This record gives sequence, C-alpha cells and structure tokens, in this order.
Amino acid sequence: MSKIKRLGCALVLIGITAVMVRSQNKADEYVTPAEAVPTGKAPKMQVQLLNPGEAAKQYAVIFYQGDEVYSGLQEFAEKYHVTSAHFTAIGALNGAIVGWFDPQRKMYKKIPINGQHELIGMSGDIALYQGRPVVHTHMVLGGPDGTTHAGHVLEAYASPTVEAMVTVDPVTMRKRLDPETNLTLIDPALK
Amino acid sequence: MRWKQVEDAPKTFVLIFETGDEIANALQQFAKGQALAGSSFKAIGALSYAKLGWFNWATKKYDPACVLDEQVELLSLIGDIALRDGEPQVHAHVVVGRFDGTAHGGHLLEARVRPTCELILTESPVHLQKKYDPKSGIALIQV
Repeated sequence: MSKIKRLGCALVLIGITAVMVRSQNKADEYVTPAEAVPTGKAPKMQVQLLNPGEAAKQYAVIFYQGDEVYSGLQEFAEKYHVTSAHFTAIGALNGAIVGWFDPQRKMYKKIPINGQHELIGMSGDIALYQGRPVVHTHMVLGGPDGTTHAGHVLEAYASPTVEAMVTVDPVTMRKRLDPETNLTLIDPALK
Repeated sequence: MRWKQVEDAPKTFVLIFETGDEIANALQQFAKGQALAGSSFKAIGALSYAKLGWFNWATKKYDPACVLDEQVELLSLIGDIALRDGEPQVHAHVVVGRFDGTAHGGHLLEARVRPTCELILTESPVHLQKKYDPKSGIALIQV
C-alpha cells in the first residue's frame, strides 16, 4: 500500500514539474501585444530634424552599435510628442526577436534571430493609444546567404548602425483596443 | 532611366527604370547629378539579375550573399542618401521574391531591371553627413 502511495506521489510530482516547465516555456515563447516597451535601451540614438518649419516633420533617427531600435523609436516618439508618423529604416543588426501573431492565443510567438544580419527593410507607423504613442513596425532580415527572416519587431540590436527616416504628420492618429484580437488597431475616425 | 520632379516641398522625384538599367549605379549618378545630400527613397519593380550583400564583421566588407541570375520581383527597395567627404553616398537594401514566392534579400550591390522599377525619392533641406567609423570600417551617418 505504502509502495503504491509513494509511487503515486512520485508520479504526481513528476506531473506537476512537467506542467510547470511547460507553462514556463510557454511564457518564454509568447508575448502579449499590450506589453509595454522598456525605454533607455538605445543610449547612442541621435535625432535630427531635416526640414525645419514644415508642417509634416521629417526626422533622421540614427542608431549605433548595441542600441535597441524598437525601444529607441518608442523613446523618440515620447520625447518628440509624436501623435502620428510613418517611417522606413535600413541598417544591420546583431541579435533580434521578431513576432508572429497567433490568432488563437492572441499573442505574438517570439522568434529569435541570432547573429549578424542585414536589416533589409523596416517599415512602420506611430499612433496614439490612451494618450501614449505606440510604435508598430515590421522588418525583413537577411543572413550571410541572402535568405530572409521577417516579422513583427520585438527587439532589434543595431550593429553597426540603423538609419530610420521618420515623417511625423500634423494630424493625430488614434488606436482603439480590438477585443477580438487583443491588439490596438488604428481607427481613423477616432477623435 | 527617366525621372521627373513631382513636388517642390518636400522636393520629391519619381525615377522610372527600364529593362537593362542597373539601379545601384544609376541611383549613384542621379544623386551626384542632383547634388542630393539628405534623401530617402523606396521602390518596387522586377529584376532580371540581383547581387545582394551581407556585411561581414570579420573582413569589414560586404560579402556577395547571393547572386540571382533570373527573373525576380523587386518586393522592396528602401534606402537613403547622405554625404561622405562632400560626395553623395547611396545606401539601399533589397528584398526580392523568386518564382516560387521565397524571398532573398540584402544590401544592394547590383540590380538589373526587367521590365520596370518605380522609385520615389524625397530630398530634405537639411544635409546628412557620414563619418568613417573605425570599429565597423564603414561610414555611418552622424547627426
């Protein structure tokens, strides 16, 4: 009896451990869309206004070795009070994480991309959600054999540089939370 | 390659490439001819040949990552122009799509157009300057 009991206990323990490990992996592999972007990860970032006096402002936002570009763009948007913008960027990265939106889980699956890659193309926009600018951006990366990886940008570490050309539009664009996807979507009609 | 200025502020050009035009060289010539010093551009089209680079940290040079001697869609070409030692320098990246929909991409080294490539370029009043970066061995934009 005690043998069976012990065996049972052991099995239950193994089961619990397995579940815990699995859920931990799940937490590591997926990220919720609403997760706040940490700032302060792009200390070398430089910004220059390219057309002083114009209504639609053009900025060069330049990143250097080790700067995390997604967090830097968020910092730029907050610092320059951006309420509507679009941008493209090229450069090179060493280390990145892109996301793939899983409609079942309503979360981004994290796809790490290690090593030196060309940042072939990054394009995105900035709009307001609850009074705070939200950066939404996608990128395509190229490896040493020209093969590509792409996705929603979660992390992107500049190496040696990333050059972003940002156009800040004078009319505010707002986002609303879409309960079906858990994503914030741009609603042009929102005042 | 034919071009037309379509707007004054911001100064905006449309460049149309035709079969046989090589984009990297033609863009460099155009930038020189128009004395461009702070531009960004994007383009789509199709190519008969593409040579794409990947920056090799060990050699500090662009390795030819892939050479595609075949018809491909030019899915996206984006880039910028800044001054290096007073001369405009074009920096562009490319994604191409092959016949089976797979994508390849890299730093633009050479791209031969077939049948067309449509490029929109915006020049800003403020110049961008590049400076040699000893760590990477290439010139980076300094603002």
